[in-house]
Amino acid sequence: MCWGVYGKVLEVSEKYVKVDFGGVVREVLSSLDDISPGDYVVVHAGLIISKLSREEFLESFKYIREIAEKLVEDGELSREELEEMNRIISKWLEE
Amino acid sequence: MKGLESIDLRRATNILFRSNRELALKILKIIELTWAQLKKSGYEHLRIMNFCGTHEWTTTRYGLRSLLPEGIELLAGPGCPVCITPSHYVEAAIKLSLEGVRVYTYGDAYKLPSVKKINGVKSLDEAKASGGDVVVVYSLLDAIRDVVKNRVESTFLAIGFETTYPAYALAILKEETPENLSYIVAGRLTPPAAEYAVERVGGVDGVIAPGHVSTITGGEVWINLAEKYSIPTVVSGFEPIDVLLSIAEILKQKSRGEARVVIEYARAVTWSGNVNAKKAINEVFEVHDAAWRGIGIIPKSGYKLREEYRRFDAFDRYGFREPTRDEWCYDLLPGCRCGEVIIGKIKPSECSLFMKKCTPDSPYGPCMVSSEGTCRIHALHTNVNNIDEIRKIKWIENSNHQ
Repeated sequence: MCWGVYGKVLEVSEKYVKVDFGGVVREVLSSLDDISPGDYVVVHAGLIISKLSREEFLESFKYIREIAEKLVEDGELSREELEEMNRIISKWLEE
Repeated sequence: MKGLESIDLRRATNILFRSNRELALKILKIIELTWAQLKKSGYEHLRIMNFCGTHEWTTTRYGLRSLLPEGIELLAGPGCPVCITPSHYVEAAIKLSLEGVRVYTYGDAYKLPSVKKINGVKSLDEAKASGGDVVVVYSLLDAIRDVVKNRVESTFLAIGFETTYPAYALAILKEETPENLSYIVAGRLTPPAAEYAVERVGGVDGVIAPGHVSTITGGEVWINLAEKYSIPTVVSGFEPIDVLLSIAEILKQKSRGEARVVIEYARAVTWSGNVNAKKAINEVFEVHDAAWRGIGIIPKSGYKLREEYRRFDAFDRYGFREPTRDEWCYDLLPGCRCGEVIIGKIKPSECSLFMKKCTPDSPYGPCMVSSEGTCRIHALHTNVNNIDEIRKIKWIENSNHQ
């Protein structure tokens, strides 16, 4: 019921927003005002509930880096392993 | 490096948070090392509870329980809106559909069984088969368009948590709700039920808080839970890497003696949430002590329409009313233990009806109906970690002996 589906905004009109869900295009309602074409949004039961933040996209990994760094300090994890993890996280961004 | 602006966030989510075995193994190593440190300081067992059916789905579907070190237990708490929708709403919807009022419902609630039969019928699915006017919709917008087109007297079985309620509120505020459409207001709030489950189950060491509910409420709504019960609380996304990261964060906080709210699902959730949506909900609805199926009345846990919008209330319009605390009756069928499954007190396999009288094809209890119901998830996506539980089920034992 609380499933959220990621979609890309195609068009914004006064009442509805046209969203592309990987090829399936649907009109949905929005609970946010600042929606523009090109935005990625989370849609739940036909309503835009959130806009995905590009800036925050990698924020999730800050915890893992913090924990890993602490474990390196404690001598439980090697510096090489920490670097490898950082490499995995940023790999998909590389050209 | 590509610039962030050129990234397809859908694809990136799949690559980074879902199909990422390499990273999953690294996070698991961190979890194992942190757990080893915690064990040295005296921990023998750690129980982490989630409050969203989608988190339970991810946990079970991807077999996350089987990956974790022994001693870390993941529990499913109340996180399925369909499962906790009291029977009296379903009975009202059935009755209306058989009396010629068109009832709109989300697919998840279509087969939801009621306790009392209405004219021999105990679900909207059966009501439709008996000539009732029932229409399954994907969204409220679909229902509104159908009402406008067909000009029928109609009602919407408005189940849902904080995630679903902005749609109803906005449709009323923006005058999109036609006057011949009413709502069966069955909405519930997640944090009061989370606190209820934490208290009833006891011994909960960490909480994976629901990501999509929190897009609306914001991470701040979980502060009370974290502080009152001293439980690390992580607002988590729904991919396997999100859930593993959240577990790692809970272990980290445990090792440091902290109990804070942290937002792991930062790509979609902010601290203060969706201000527009919260404002709309507050304008249209007020909070009341409300019934949860198989559980009873939980204080300040349900939505009801404010006086100025009561004309859209199906209960007012058609003469139904909410049960008081004294009037509330246990609303599960005999033998069904969904009330205990919902709050995480027992696992589905501990119910004697699981996969016998109650199956995904023929659900007996509400937790076997919805795709977010714990019983249905465990029935469809059982992983190697549940094999011992499955062996406890009699019909499998019997078939092994033959």
